[in-house]
Amino acid sequence: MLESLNRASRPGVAVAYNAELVDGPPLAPDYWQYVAEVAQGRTIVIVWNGNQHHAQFLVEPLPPISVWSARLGTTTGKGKIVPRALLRALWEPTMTGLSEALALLPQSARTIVLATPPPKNDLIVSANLAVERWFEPEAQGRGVAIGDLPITAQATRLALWEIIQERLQEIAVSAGARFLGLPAGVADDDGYLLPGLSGPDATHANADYGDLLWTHIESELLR
Amino acid sequence: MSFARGDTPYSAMPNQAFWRRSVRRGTTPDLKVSGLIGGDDRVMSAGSCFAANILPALQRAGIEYVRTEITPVVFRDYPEHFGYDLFSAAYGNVYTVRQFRQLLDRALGRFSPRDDREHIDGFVIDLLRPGLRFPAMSDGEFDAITAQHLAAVVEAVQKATVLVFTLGLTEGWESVADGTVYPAVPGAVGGIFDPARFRFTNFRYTSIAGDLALSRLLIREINPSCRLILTVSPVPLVATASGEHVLTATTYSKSVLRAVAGDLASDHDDVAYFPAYEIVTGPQAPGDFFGDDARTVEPAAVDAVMEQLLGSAGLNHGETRVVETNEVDETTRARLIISERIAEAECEEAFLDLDS
Repeated sequence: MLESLNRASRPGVAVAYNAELVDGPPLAPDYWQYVAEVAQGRTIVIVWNGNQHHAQFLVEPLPPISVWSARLGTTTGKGKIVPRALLRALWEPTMTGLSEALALLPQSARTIVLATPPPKNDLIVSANLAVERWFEPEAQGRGVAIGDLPITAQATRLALWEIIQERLQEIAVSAGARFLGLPAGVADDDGYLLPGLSGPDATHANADYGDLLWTHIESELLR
Repeated sequence: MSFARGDTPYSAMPNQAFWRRSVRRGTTPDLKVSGLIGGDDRVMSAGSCFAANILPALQRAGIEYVRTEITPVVFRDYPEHFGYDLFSAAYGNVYTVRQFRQLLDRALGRFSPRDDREHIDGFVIDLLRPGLRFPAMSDGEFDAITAQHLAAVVEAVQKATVLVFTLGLTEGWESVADGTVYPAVPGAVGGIFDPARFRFTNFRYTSIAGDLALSRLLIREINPSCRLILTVSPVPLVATASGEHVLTATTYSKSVLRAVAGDLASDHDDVAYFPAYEIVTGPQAPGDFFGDDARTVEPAAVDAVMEQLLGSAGLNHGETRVVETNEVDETTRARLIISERIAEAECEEAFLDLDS
């Protein structure tokens, strides 16, 4: 998606991207100060993390968990029900930087926080993990086979993702920024990323998704 | 049975029947109760905060402590407040016998409190567990979490061979609407006090005895082989709403509870009374069993209680029979770490070199 955004980048628009890179500008102490300086009179679009639900719950934890889903009007499975407030607390450290970054941006900037890609359904995740060989040594070293590891139920992953979006929106709104939800047509009726927009791994969207997202952003900019 | 001149029924009684022979200032008498608990028992505990104190000693001694509402490992850095994590299920402190009976009734689906929640600042506060650190954020979530909790209560009773219940208070606060008893006065920990909804009650012997007898029956309905050990909390009331001085209110409360517990134990072979209260508050108790506030029970007192309790099981308090383990098993850890690795690698492409 970043490539797509960079391709489409236009004068007057700054794109800040933070995926907790090990190295690079977003973690440098003066990075957001720099963004604040260039943001005067410009539009800042921020994509902040968004994969926390997979980082801790892609592989089904023990005990399995479930979450109350407002979308479903029930819990997402038979696992241990985890309060949404606890999940928000768990992820709050990953959100603090966003609050701090937004606070630095000038009032003359138009700031948009983007929704992050929704999770994929179980079939796609399993299929993509099966061809990703990077994790086999890690799994084997821990005495498990990747193929034997159950994936957290898709409904639970979706509810977890929704909690992250909820928090992103709250932070954006409280900072006077706009939260831009998903573009139309990227998710199926149940809320999962459409197969045609899935990247070749377990969690990422592809460049087509990026194009749709960019169009979505442009529409927002023209409002 | 006939008696020689000068003999009385006391003549043949053991030393423990005589104060002079068995009680000395500053020492704990031998108050072990044979058959009370065994090394192979699975113990569940509930009751006032004093009940939570037994957990570390039980685990050190290698006695299995039943826990059915464990927070998953990934949330280990976010423990509950107020000891909800310390009990077999996350009911927190259960101070009155009526609250205990209602907990069992709710767990069995026979009682649904009408006034069980408060909506505050986007959260749904559980008036029956007001100190929960992470309350529900909608009524639907509240109902789901509560149902899960009550199922965990039933599961704990099913798994336990012994349930230790510590009677704490006679005083409580109840719902005007349906008599639901709360663990604390609404407004103290969570919620808002409304005199139209909540009222004070000081339970008396007859109602407490009835509630405890019913609680025993409910426990046996869930698990006919579960034994009940009763203790009375030695911790004085922090405050009274009875109009009495808190000292006399404490004496009334503890006296009634002690009498109820003793009577039920006398009436049933599957119920035992363990004298934690006497160990800590008796006139023989060392002066350092309470803190300077004359209320806080000090570790020395808990040690004395546990020495007697574990001694009843032939175990020595302080010795570690089985190493307590809070370690995460390898499968659980592997799942967590692999999730992290996948997300990291897919985000950062940092694991590409693993192919080589």
